[in-house]
Amino acid sequence: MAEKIKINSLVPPTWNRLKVNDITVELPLGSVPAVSAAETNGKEVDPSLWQIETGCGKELTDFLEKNGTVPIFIKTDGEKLFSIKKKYDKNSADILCFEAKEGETLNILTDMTSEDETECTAILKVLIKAGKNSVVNLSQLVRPGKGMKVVSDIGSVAEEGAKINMIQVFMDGSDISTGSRTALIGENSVAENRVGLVRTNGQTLDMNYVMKHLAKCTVANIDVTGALSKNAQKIFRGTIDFVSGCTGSDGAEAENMLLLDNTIVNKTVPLILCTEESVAGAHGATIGRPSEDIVFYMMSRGISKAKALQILERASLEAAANQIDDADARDYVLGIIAEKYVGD
Amino acid sequence: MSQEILNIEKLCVSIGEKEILKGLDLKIGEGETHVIMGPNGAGKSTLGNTLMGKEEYEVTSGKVTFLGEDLLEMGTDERAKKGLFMTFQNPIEVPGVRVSEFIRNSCEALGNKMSLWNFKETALEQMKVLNMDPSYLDRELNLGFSGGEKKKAEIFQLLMLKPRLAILDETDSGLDVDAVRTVSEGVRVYHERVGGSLIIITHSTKILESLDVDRVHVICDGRVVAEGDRKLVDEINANGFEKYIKA
Repeated sequence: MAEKIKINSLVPPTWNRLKVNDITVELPLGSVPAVSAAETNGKEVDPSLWQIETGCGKELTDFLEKNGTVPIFIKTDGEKLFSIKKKYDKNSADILCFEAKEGETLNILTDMTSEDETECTAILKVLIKAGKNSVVNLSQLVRPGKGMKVVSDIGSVAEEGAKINMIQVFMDGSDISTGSRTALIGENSVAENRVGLVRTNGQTLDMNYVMKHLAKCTVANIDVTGALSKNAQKIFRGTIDFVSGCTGSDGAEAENMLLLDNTIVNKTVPLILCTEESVAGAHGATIGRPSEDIVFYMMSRGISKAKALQILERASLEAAANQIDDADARDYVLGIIAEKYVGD
Repeated sequence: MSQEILNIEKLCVSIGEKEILKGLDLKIGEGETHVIMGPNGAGKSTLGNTLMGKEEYEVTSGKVTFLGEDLLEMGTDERAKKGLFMTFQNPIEVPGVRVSEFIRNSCEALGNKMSLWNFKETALEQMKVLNMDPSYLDRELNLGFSGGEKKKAEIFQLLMLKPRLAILDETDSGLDVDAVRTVSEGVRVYHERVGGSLIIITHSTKILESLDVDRVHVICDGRVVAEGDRKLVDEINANGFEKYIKA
C-alpha cells in the first residue's frame, strides 16, 4: 500500500501556477529499516526526544510514524568517520539521529545506491543536534539505480558556536527529493549546505533547503552547483529566514547551474524572509549554457565538445565533494565520481 | 625552407561587419620559428584565433592548409588533434576542473593515453623546466592564477601536448623579466625536444632571446607588409612600426 504526501513545502507559498510550492510523492507503507541498531551500535529512541523540523516537512514525519519507523540514535567514535553505505534492494525507511556534545566533532558519511534493475523507494531521514561549539560534518552521496526513488531528509539544530557542514552529492540515476532545515538557535552558530548535482535522461530533483536564523550573529550558506541535460527537471527552493532578534546574522545562497542543452526544466526559488533589520542576506545565481570561451579553450586542446561538457558536468559534482572536510569521506566520494566517469 | 607545414593564402577574416585580415599570406616550414609583429589592432591575434577555429572569426575568403589538409574544414578539436596548438593571450579559467585532469584528458584526446603514474611522472618533469610547484596539478585550471602562473600553465600544456605547430599569442605580455625568461626556456625546450614549428606573436623581444628565429613578419592592417630575418626585430625595436603603418 502506498500513500501520497506533500513534501518540500515552500513557506510562504507562491503562485500555484508556478508549481513550486511543494511536491507530491507516493511512498510505500510497510517500508523496512535498511539500517539496524545492531550494525551501527545504535539504540532505538523515543521519537518525542527528536522532534526536529526537517526540510521535507511534517507530512513525511507523520508518514514515517505511521509506517512504524523508529529513530535510531547513533553514538559515533569521536571524530572517526562514521559511514553508512547501503545498496538498497527493497522499500526502506530509516531515521538516524546524531548528537555532538559540547566541543565534539562528528564526521558522518552516508551512501545510498542500488542496482539499476531494483525497483524500490528509499527514505532516509537524518536528525542532528549540534551542541555548544561542536562541529558536525555530514556528507551524503546519493547515486540511485534507475529504478530507485529516493527521499533524503535532514533536520538539524545548532547551539551556540556550533558548526554544521552538510555536503550532498546527487549523481544521476533516478528521481530524488531532498530537504534540509537547519535551526541556528545558538549565537555564532554556523551552517553550510553545499550541493553538487547531475540530472539527465528525464530525472528529477526536488530540493528544499531552509536556514532559520534564531540567534544573534549566526551564519548560513547554501551553495548549489550542478549540470542538467536531456529532459532533466530540477527545482531548488532555498529559504533564508531571519527571525526577529537574530541581529548581526548573515545568510547567503548561491546557485551555479550549467544547462547543457535546451530540453531541461530548471526552477529556482530563492527566498529571503526577514523580520530583523540588522542582518545581511544575499542571493546569487549563475544559470545558463557553458561559456563558449571555456568550451573553445577545451576544444583547442583536442577535447571534443561532448567530452568538454562531460568534464564540466563532473566538475560540478567534484566542486561539492572537494569541500568535504574529512579526508577519508572526501576520497571515497571523489573515488565514486571518478569511477562513474572513467571510460564514459 | 624545410618541408611546408602551414600555408596561408590570401586569407580574409571578418568579425561581424569588420574585416580584420585582408588577404594575408604566410608559409611555415617544419621545425621553423616565425615571429609575427605589428601594432595594436593589426590582426595578429585574429590570425591565431582564426587558425584555431574560433567561431566568431569568419573566414570570408582565402585558403589555409596544415600538413597538406584544408584546415578551415576542421573543427577546433580536430585541428588540435592534427597537431595545432595555441597559447591564449588571456588563458580561460575553468572552475572545478583540475589542471591534472584537464591536461590528462587533453593528452588522451590527442592519442597519448597515460596511466596516472606515467602522467604524473611526465608532468613533474615538464614542470621542473618551468619552476612550477607540483601542487599546481591539483589546482582548478587557471582559477586564481596570477598572470605569470597562467602563462606558465599554457607553456606547461605546450610541453605536455607536443604539437606540430604552436601559436604563442603574446605569451610574454604582462610578465616580469624572470617570468619571461622561464616561459622562454619552456618554449626553447619544446622546440629542442619536440622539434615543432612556432608562430610567436609578440610585442616584446625578450621571449626571443633564447630562440633561433627563422623569419619575422610584420602585419599591418590585416596584411603582411614586411618580412625579414631576425634583424627586422631589432629594426622595429629601434624605429617602431611607423613606416609600415604609413606604407
